[in-house]
Amino acid sequence: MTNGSAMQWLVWKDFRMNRLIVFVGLILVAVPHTVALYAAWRGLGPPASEGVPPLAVFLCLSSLYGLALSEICLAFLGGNAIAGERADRSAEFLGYLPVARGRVLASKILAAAGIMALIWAPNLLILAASAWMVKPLGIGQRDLEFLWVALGNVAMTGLMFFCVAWLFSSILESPAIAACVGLITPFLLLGGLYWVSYLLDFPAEFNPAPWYCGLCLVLASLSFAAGTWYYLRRVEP
Amino acid sequence: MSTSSCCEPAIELVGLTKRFGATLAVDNLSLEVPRGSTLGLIGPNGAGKTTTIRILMGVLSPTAGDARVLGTSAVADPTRVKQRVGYVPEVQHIYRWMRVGQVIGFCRSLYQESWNEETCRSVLDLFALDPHKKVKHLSKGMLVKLSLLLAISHDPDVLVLDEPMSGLDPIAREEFLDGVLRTLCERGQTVLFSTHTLDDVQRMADTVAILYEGRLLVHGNIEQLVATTKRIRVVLANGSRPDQVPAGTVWDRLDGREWLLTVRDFAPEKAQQVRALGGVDHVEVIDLGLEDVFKDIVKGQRLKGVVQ
Repeated sequence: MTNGSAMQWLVWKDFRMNRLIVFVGLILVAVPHTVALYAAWRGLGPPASEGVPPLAVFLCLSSLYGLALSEICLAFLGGNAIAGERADRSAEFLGYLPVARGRVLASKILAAAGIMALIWAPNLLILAASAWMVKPLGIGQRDLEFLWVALGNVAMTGLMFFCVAWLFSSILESPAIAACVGLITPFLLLGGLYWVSYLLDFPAEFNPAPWYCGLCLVLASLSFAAGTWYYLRRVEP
Repeated sequence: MSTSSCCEPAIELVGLTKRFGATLAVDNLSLEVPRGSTLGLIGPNGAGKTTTIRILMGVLSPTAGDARVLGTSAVADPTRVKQRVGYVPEVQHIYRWMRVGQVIGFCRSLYQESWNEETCRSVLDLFALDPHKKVKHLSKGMLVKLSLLLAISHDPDVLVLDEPMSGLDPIAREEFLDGVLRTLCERGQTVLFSTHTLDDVQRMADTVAILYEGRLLVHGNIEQLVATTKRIRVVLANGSRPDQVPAGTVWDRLDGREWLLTVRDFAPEKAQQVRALGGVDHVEVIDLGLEDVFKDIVKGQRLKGVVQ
């Protein structure tokens, strides 16, 4: 890259700084598919029925696993967003250049969105194609509900990973610590939910999933707003 | 906030104070640098030079006071200040994974219209920087040169250099200084630079500011400072230090019968005053270089601190 607007350069720079995360994300997505292909090649699993090859079933499942696994990249993207440049002190260099903080943040968000699109796009395509292929097997209402809940949980957990790590990235100098804080948050949240349900003697059929998703959204919004506010207010790089 | 006019100073520090917890890094510093002049900022380690420069560059907030560049407050509008200032830090933190050409492209995109491609190319040629080389493969000297290229290619009104030549070999230093001096001669920019090398100050600066423990001890024209600061060597008859010292004495030391005094705002009358003190055998006035003046002023302050 030799020419381009300031925003293009900033996004390119942020994309390049997260190159390792892109690589790891693509591997995390590829691993379940590799296992699925191996299982289909070895003839494992149920025989083909209704003209649906076992590979389609495997790929449908591996896509979901790939999504769930690769969402940890969001924690690392959030953690690396601001603290990554502080850790190698390139934030100092950027700090002396005439670029508004808002633009710096916008480029980081765009780069993170682009990276997740790059990691997830092939996976979502495989999921859609394999879901279409397994359609003749007949998907019940419960299966669909399960799928939506699973996707909702994955999406909300990923969002929370990113936003909590983003908050700590704006405060700390260590991207690893910021990412780890993001990664442990769902466990703390789920633990808290079960603890509350136990203390308040919730009925046995209590389903924490909607609460979990809601709390994830609230926590993610608050963390993102706080991290952004802090970075914009902070004078030091 | 950003009312720039031709008469206001290029750099203006007004009651600048910075505290890091209990440590007072900059203490009520007020200083003006006129447009087109070159100020050498000197002081021992921990004097507050880098802190002052970081506040001036808008990357550190002052505890009190303000730092203005061409009438724009670095506290209120740091982005505007950065557009008009070229900065070379002591340690370069340029993205190590970028190539020289990419760093230039990155900075060019941020400075937009103010970027001068002609200047950039000529400095690139002057320093023989390879645009295809990665920053991490550059030597320290080349890295500083790249930093200078980035600092001057957007035709800044003010150039700030924070000990950029520390750790450079003599040839790299010379080439860097040539680059700076060339810029100064061509454009008449205002320059503020901090350094520990007083030869560089004498070579480049019109005025000097000496900082010590965050305080401004001296600010003035170098030639005038050197011309009016003298050492008086006194041989005492019995080796006992007189009670009185001449006004303007910044440092003195008694070694046997020899009493050395460094006096600012020297006038021949001060030597006469010393001669008039009792028990004085011989008085001699010695000229000093900037380095000796600086050392004596700082040593005097240290002694004051010890006494207090």
